[in-house]
Amino acid sequence: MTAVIQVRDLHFRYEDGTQALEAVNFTLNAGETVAVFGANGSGKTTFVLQLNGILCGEGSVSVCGLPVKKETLAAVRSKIGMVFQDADEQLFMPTVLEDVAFGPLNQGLAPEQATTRAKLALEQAGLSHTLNKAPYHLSAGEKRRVALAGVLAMQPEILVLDEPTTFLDPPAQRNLLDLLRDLRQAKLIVTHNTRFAAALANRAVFFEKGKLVADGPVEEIVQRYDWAYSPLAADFRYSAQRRF
Amino acid sequence: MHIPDNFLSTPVWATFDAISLPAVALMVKRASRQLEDTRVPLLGVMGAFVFAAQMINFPVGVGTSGHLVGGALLACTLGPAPAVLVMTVIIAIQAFVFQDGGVLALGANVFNMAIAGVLAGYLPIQIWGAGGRRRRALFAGAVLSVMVAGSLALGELLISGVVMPRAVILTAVALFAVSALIEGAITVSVVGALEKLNTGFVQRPERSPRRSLAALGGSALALGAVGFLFASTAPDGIERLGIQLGLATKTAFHAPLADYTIGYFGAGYFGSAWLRKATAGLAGLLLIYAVCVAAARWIGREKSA
Amino acid sequence: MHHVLLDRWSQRASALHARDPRAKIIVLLVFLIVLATTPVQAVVMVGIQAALLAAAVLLAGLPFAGVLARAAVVLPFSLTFGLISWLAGEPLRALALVEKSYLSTLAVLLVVGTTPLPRLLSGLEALGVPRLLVLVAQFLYRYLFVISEQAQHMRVAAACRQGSSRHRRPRFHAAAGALAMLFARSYNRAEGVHRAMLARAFTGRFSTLGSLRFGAVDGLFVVATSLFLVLVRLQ
Repeated sequence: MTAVIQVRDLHFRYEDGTQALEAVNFTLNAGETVAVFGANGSGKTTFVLQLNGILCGEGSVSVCGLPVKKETLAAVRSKIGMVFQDADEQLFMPTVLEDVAFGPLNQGLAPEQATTRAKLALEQAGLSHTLNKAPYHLSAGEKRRVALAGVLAMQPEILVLDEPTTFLDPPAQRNLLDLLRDLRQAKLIVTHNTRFAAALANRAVFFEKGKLVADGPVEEIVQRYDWAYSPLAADFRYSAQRRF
Repeated sequence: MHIPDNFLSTPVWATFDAISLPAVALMVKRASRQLEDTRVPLLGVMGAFVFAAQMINFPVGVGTSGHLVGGALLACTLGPAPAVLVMTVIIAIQAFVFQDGGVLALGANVFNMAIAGVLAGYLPIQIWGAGGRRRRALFAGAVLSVMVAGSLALGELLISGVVMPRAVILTAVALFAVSALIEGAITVSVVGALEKLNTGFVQRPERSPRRSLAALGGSALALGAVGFLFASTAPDGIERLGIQLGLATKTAFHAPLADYTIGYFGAGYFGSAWLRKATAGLAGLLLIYAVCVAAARWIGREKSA
Repeated sequence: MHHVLLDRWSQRASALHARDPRAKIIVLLVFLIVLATTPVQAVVMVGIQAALLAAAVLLAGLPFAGVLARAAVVLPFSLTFGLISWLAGEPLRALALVEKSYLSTLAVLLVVGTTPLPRLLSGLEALGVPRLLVLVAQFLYRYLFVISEQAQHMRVAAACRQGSSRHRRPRFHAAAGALAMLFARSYNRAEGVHRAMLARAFTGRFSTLGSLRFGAVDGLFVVATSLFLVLVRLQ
């Protein structure tokens, strides 16, 4: 199994001095899907932003064999595609087509080729009918999938998704799940939604206060850190009954 | 304050188009060299913020509420040059999408609000913004930005021959003054709240003698522009000036005022009186400027000592 | 919201909608300049110009009453000054002010109501407007609705919290706090957009798909309309 992401001894400190990541070691293999769990502020998003060079820490990060450095950023960002939590921030062009073609154009493709790639990606995401629509006319689920199409159009080898199910209703979540299941790329999914993660990933890692403290099968990690929603919901019902 | 089309006479709107458009193009060229396109999202989003901000009402008593115009706020958070660009785009979008302000009149509106208003608003901040008198500088800047823009608009209307009796002008000036004070209060309040959130939002202007000098000189001119308008003998004076210079549109039915004016011209009396007043005004401006230059040099020397 | 309606109008289809934005902008400028230089006594000329606009509204398939109503935004301003002029003994000047400012507003509305703003911006860029301004306008328009909605929510939330507070000062500062919050959120949103751009290998310069095509019909439209307007004007 080839490693498509290799992180060794990664440290990162914010400008104000807070240690956001400490001694993180991580490997992602080709075709694998790994879930990233952890409390808010534990460093999950900070970690993920190191993988395409948006944030730069100390230690070694390499993507598809390329060390993530200033000189290799363009190439790295073609290999690893990232979908962020806020879809409105990602769909910043006037129409869906122009937005999905943004990546390919940056990769140096001519306008006609970029348009073709964009149309293919939209078809893959089941959104060909939204070609000329303006982003704010779309539903949350559609926006999320357009953002994904925008990344797929760059033909990356790795997909990183940061909290992909936020704001999605159950049908939209199922839609996204089906779409992701069909994609061959290695995937890294940062999420609180353990059911969603379990449906896609076989492996999970757990972040705690900037350290990667566990790495193992999804169910085991969820059990060990009590990371499922259901027990919490049961608690809430119980305490509500007690009060009234 | 947004002047629609067909209020300004052709020479006036054409002149301002000829001034503003190259001025903005020049600023854009300079900005492009420094910024690349990386700053575009910030400028665009903050422009959208200003639009949205105008929806938020600030209670000012007597059942009225004011709202933010935004020139000074943009200038002290984004910097003066980006603020000019964003305000230009805002004014253009207001004209096209919201039909607030004319298309041929864009040059005048952009000059009044995006160029003169923003820069006049930033000058007090540039001079005093870094020290303890910050709040007062912000207040003065916001007030100036509205007053300068409003005064220029009034002047342009008058010089185009739009009929404005003294009562109307005074009402307009009073309204501008109230808006200006509201703008000052809102700007100071919002900047205060911003700094509590994150001190990085608001820029601290860098102190440099050359900049302070330019700022003082510019302030004097800005104040002069406002003052000149108020201190001129009568609003009719400016209108007559407009007619004299051929800037105001003449109509055959302009009869009553035309006779009055021609009488004056014929007598030659008004001509020399106007000249005297204009020279006095100009001399006053130069005097203020000279004093400011001297003061700035003195301040500069103090700092480097 | 106002611009949502305009957006919907601009998405329709008609002979006017299909014209290249550059053609429409040029014709608009010709119209505005001709109208601005038309002396007010030339009633017939102004009548012809008004008729041309009316015909264009019908050709564009836009709701006639709706368009006329929307252009009336300028009326409060122009009627006020018109009244002043009329009372000062210059009725013709008053008439000129009101009718010409209304017609020019209508003309601009026609162009923006038949051209989606991003296309209009592409047209402006092709005609020489600096790229940076066009891009900023594009981003502004994209996030205008989003941020306005946020501002609306904040207003509602603030109103809910306010209760019956009569005191001006706290309400004023609450509004300032809300504005600062909106500023911070907008700023963070802009940073998010920037991150998203970087993640998709943004090189520092925007490239366009460039889809404007100036055809023979557009050329004919520009020449014919401009000639008509100028000839009428020169009578």
